[in-house]
Amino acid sequence: MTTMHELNLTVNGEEWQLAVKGAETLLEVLRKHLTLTGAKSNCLEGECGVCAVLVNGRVVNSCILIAAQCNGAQITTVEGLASGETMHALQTAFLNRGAVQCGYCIPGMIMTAAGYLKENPAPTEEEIREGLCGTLCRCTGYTKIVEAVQEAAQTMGAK
Amino acid sequence: MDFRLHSAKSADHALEIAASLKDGWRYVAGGTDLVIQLRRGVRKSDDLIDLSSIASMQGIKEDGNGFELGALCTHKDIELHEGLSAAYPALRAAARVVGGHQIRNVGTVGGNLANASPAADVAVALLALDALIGAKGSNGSREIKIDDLFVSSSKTTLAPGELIEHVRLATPVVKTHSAFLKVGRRKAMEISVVSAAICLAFGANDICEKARIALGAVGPRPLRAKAAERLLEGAEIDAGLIARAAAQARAECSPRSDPRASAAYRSKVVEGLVMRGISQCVGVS
Amino acid sequence: MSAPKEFEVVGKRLNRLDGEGKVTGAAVYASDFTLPGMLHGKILRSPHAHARIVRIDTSAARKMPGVRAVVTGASQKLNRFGNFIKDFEVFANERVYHVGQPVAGIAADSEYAAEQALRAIEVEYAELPAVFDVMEALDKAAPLVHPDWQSLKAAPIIVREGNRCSRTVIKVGDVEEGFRNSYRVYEHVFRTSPVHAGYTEPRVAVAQWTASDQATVWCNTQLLFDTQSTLAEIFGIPPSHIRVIVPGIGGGFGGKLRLGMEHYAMALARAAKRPVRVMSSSEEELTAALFRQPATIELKTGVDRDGRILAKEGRIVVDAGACSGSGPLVASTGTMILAGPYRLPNANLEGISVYTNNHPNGSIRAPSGPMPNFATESQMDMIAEDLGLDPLELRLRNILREGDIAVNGQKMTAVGLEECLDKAATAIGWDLRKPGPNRGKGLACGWWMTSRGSSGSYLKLMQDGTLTMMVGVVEMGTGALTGAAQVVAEEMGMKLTDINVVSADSLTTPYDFGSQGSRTMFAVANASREAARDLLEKMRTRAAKALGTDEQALVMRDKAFWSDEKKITFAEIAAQANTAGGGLIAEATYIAPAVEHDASRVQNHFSPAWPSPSFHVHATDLSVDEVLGEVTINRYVVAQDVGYAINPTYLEGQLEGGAVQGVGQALSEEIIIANGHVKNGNLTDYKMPTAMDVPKIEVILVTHPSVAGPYGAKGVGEPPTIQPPAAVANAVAAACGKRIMHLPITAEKILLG
Repeated sequence: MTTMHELNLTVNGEEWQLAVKGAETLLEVLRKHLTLTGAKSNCLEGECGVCAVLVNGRVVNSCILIAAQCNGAQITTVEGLASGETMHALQTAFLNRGAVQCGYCIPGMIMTAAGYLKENPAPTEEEIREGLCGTLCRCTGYTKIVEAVQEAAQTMGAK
Repeated sequence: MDFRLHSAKSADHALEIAASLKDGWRYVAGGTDLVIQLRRGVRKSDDLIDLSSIASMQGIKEDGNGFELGALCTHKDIELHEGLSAAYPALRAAARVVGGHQIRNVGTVGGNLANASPAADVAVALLALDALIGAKGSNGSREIKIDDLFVSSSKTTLAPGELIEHVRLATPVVKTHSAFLKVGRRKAMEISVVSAAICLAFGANDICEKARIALGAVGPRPLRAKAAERLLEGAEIDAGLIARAAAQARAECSPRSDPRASAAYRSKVVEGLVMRGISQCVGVS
Repeated sequence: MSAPKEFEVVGKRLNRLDGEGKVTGAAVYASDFTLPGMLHGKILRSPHAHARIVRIDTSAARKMPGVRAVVTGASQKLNRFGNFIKDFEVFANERVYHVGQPVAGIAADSEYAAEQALRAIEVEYAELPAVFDVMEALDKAAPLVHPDWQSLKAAPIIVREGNRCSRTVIKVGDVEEGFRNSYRVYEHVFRTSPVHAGYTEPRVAVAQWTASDQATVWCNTQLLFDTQSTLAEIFGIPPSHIRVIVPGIGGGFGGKLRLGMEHYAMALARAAKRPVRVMSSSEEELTAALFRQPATIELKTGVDRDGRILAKEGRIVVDAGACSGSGPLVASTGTMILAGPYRLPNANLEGISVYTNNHPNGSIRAPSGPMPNFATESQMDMIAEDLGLDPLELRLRNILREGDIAVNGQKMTAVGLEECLDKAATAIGWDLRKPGPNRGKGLACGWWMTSRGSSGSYLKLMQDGTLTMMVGVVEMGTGALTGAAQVVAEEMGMKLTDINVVSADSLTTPYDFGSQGSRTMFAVANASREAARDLLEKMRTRAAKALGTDEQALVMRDKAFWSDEKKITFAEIAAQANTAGGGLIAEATYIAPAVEHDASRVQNHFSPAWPSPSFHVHATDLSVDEVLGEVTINRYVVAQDVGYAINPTYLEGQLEGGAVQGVGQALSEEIIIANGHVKNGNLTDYKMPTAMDVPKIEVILVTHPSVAGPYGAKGVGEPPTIQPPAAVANAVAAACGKRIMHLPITAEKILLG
């Protein structure tokens, strides 16, 4: 089954023209074709969220999204979140609040938060917990992650 | 996981592609269920027909008669639609507890119905809301009452090749209240161990004129507790009646034991959920 | 230890050194690592719990597209391995003894091609009788999991008999006499279920043979040198011929202590003569990883009228699975948890591990902690209730205090337990134990050790005046190496960011016992601190010579040595040494001092004395839904005696994360196994807590400094997973009167139990 599909993507502001197989997922395209390894690989069943990226501004699990369905889409991965040398407010807050341990879920967690904050820019603690529920972290117990998202939301709101 | 992907431009185009393929193909929209099934090998397809870019099947339309949800509208679209949420809180409640935001941004209402899981949250809510399913097949378009859609786990009455185009919900009559409740082992990211959607319409003097009790994961398909509904209809609902209706709903279930829960637990909590769901509806009436 | 109160670097909430790469996606993990020409390996696993292999035919698989190598037990001579008993085989030879046991491996051009080819391998099995229940396995009539158990090499400390693969005993006084003198005697049996470590990065390895007897493995193990020596043993080559590198690791929690995919990748790479990557799938993780052992705990406790414990008899029976794995260690250390941090005048405690045809198990965070703690601390509450005592008061009447002799004969020092109890109880509002209907509070206390084992550290002064620290551990995410670097920076008068950390390469970094046992920061910081002092002496000597003064006259300030107005900077010293003196390097090693105990009280014990013991109390306030049985945790408090907080931020992170991991074991996580088959082998049905399942974890740091620890620090990483099951069980009982004695405490057990 070698039918290839033309796939035009804008990833972190860069345009890509790719030929992909029908069964390739967005995660495979990012990690293998584009060698962007920020989005991580774990359950491959949409249950853990380490592969989360933004597609047209909405957070998705790239491990179960068929890449060819994303033709023409704008993709943002954790590598594309910073503006130039300046880290995104979420990245800064995660770093400063000690919300990072092993860090494997962090790209997915940050992208999950980035997607959620677009929808709800000033969330309560409870709302943040709901907003992040699709991404699992085993290291932190979420306490400092929730604090970091709260801090980032404030920073982003103040701008 | 390996398959060919065929992109459909319209519903008719999808039907054309389907007609040209050998058996074993599937429609795919968000893929949040199907991709997992393919990867696990519990389902095998050499060809997928991608519906996701069909413009006519997107979005939620509202007119004087009610709402038309394109089959491709996502759980998130439902959650964020103010008119729909106000009319049918149960539907919003169900859409909000499907997976995390990543799943809700991609998973579609059409997929949730066509996948026909007995535990599907949105399907259970729509069952309580008397949704009409707009389907299109080689013999043309038709509307199916949602209660006539489900057969058993992953089996529907859709004809081979027939696809879901939209879901229609009538504007609720004035005093309609709905609720959706589920239990699972966690507070999020749960496939329902049991779910219940209740929709009650009240007439003058707070008499219940129409009752719908839809239940998930307590039988081979999302099911209606019709005898329990009949107990409520035409009556003024009080605590005693709620308890009787909940017990009746329990009796109408045939839950199974699986690693998620035992039949005994499901049986016991379905009664609790129904009681709670009716009370919620009565409480706001 | 009376350290000065204020430091420049230690004790500060500084950002971790490896943080930026982790938030930007630049950090490379083992699963991101690839090599040119790399193949992908997949493993064929046994569908039977116990069977004889009649025939394996791989000829069809070899002809499948993209297949480059196929390996079976017969095709490569690989030695048996195992940490305590050599009862693991890389690929099964004559028999399979558990479901999921590797039978063959395939390396192919893609994972998909390898997966497809696995299906073409034909294996004919003849099923044999199997045993799944530990109590049945102990029966003389039970089928032997290893009929050849007597010929399997084992550590001398192991006492074996048939399916029983270890036995440890602690005996003090006369328990029978103690029970006779008791006012009440309580007997209960508790059970726990297997759980997964839950790391988010699956186990992965890329192996490349660089010569016929030399290989490099890039993987995500927690233990470089144990992995190196085990691989050497399997492949029959010297350890120095195997280089183990951890590019980065996505969580471990003990689940990556033992071999993961390394041996399969090496065997396949040898056969294919190409680099091979093997990554565990999500399903393999949940059906074929090393879980935390399920255990049965029998407890008999006698108390006087005031609730003082007079005698305790207990046994923990650990289901090791089909290979002993960490079972013997878990059962052995479990006896100390059965005792608990209490004064026990009479005790008879036994820990045994037992072979069954279930999946082999490993060492998950505080490997023997949660199971016996759940039993002991649940029973304490049951005793309190029966005696009409406040559970807090019952504990205060029995806990170990400064100078007390513990069950192993060890004299207790730096005991912060009472303070932890007081502070946790105050924080949770213990005075109001049942704040409303279906709402209640519970607490549980415990103790743990800071494991020993060597660490080494190489230090090198860099030309820019910064310092490179090379250590043989893996930074698992705990922040241990940031903590150790803080200690070095403090010693050197540097900033934390002046320390460059190199770690996790078995060829270039010094030997280390590894990232385990709550000892990483403790031991690495101690070794590095010693090395830093040595390096500083060498630098001082050079500085004195350069400035033409006495060493004693030098003052160290702002990364320079000063003599009056003259100075020489660290960078200048480095440059001078590099050109004229061969550079400035230093090294040191450390092992925690042995702790005295009474050897007459223990038999065949793996950890009879507890170095730098830590003490901890968890308290929770939760609600139980009376209709659904669901538990909602309203508040959760952890008070832990950490000795000293080198970096309070990451220390809190350990306690917060550990508590939530423990709450998972308490309420929702279990590997469901029936007749050796896992029934919930995916993350849909293996339920780790999400952000919605737990509240903010409230942390209280109690500091009774350890004499041995850097700045008084104690080991902290494992303890927080120990107490949650008991604390939650006690709170559930307080909330709704249901006493659940079998983990996890599901809504179903609460409602129907």
